[in-house]
Amino acid sequence: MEKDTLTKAKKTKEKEVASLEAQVARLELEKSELEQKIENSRPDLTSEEARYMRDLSYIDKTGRVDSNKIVVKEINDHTNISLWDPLGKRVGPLHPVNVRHTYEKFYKLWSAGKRFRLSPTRPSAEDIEKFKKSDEYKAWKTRHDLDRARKSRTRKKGELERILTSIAQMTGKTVGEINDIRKPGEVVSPGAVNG
Amino acid sequence: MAATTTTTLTEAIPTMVTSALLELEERDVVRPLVTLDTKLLGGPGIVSNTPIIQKLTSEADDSLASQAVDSGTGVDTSPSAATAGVHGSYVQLKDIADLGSVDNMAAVSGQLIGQSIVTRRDLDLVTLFASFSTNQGAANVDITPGDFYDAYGSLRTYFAPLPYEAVFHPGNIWSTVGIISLFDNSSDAVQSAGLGTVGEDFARSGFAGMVLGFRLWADANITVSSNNASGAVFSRQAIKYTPKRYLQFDIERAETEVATNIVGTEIWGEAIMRDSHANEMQFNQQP
Repeated sequence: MEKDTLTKAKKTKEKEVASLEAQVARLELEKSELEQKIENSRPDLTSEEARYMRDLSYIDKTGRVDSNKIVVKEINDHTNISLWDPLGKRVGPLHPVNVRHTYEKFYKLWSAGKRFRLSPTRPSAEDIEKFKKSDEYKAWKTRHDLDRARKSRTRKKGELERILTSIAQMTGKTVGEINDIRKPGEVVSPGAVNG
Repeated sequence: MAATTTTTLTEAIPTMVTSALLELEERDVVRPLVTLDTKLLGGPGIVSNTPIIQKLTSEADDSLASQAVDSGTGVDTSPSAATAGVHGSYVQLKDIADLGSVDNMAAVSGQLIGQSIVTRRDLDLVTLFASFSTNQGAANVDITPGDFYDAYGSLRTYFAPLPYEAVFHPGNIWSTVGIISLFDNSSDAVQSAGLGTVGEDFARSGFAGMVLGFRLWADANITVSSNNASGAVFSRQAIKYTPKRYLQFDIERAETEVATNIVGTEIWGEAIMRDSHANEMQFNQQP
């Protein structure tokens, strides 16, 4: 008797579990269906947004509003032009009359070996490299380097060292002996034994 | 009562527009430092020639040879000729821009035109610097006191009268390789024993009015190319500025454009007068 009751209760419970599981399955199916529906009903935002921006861009380009623009133009009755030295240095732009005077002046200076000859056309990188291999450039570079070395001395760099060297030579001592500034901990009083 | 949304409130609050600021430009730095040649003003001609006559040599004997009164040769060639040309700008001011602006756009246009002409004049003068015969520096070279010594000596040798002006791009003055670096209190400074007057001026105010015999000026209109710029040291007669007609504004209505044309023009020329009274100073701006 009891065995039958237990079996009945067990079967009832199993039925209930099965029923609940079926309900869960149905709900899950319903959920996925609803999600799919939402996905299908939502528009393609990427292509719509792109079209929106494209249309606005076309409107901005085609339609013209000048109310926020004030046109300013420069007026000249002549065109200034430049001269170039063989290293690519620009002289100008100058008034054409001044360009002519400058060209003639630098031609005379070049003939006297004082400056580079100027040209109305800009040298290319290859022209500049080619010029740097020329004798004219090498001679100028030698003079230029000597000149800069002379002028750089006026910055007094190394002046102290030069003075110390000449004092050392005159006194027959080394630079270290006449220029031996010690740190505070190294100074010893007269008569003390050096460590 | 319905709540007012933030969006509605924003739309009700206007955006206030203050008076416009104009982009800044360098002004008339060089013109007051050079010779003013007024021969073309109020008269005919567009070319102003300044003859330069060679000096005579006094002889020390009792049989003098006649000498010709001749034109200058060498770098101070005669004549120094300046050709006047028209320089100007024009603005087309549309009615709708003028009516819709907070500022008086006609006045702003006039100011823009004036500024552009002043800048053009300064540019015309500073571009002459690279055409002087003597260049104390070169490309990619740092300035040293020796450059000033040689420049002063060069001007004095050719009898250039004082004062001597030195006009540089600001980067050639205030940079780690500029003029200011010559006067700081480093061991390489001109006054390494302590700040002297010029060094004190630079240390205190960042500027000195005179440097090694030259009155110092900064001009940002000088062109910088690959970190190099060509300033100059010169005496007044090195360059001449020749005005033909001063600034003039003309206003013309352009009905078909629904606008007003505002034209500002000035006529002038410039030329090197005494080349020997100036040196180009081409130097590096930064290492």
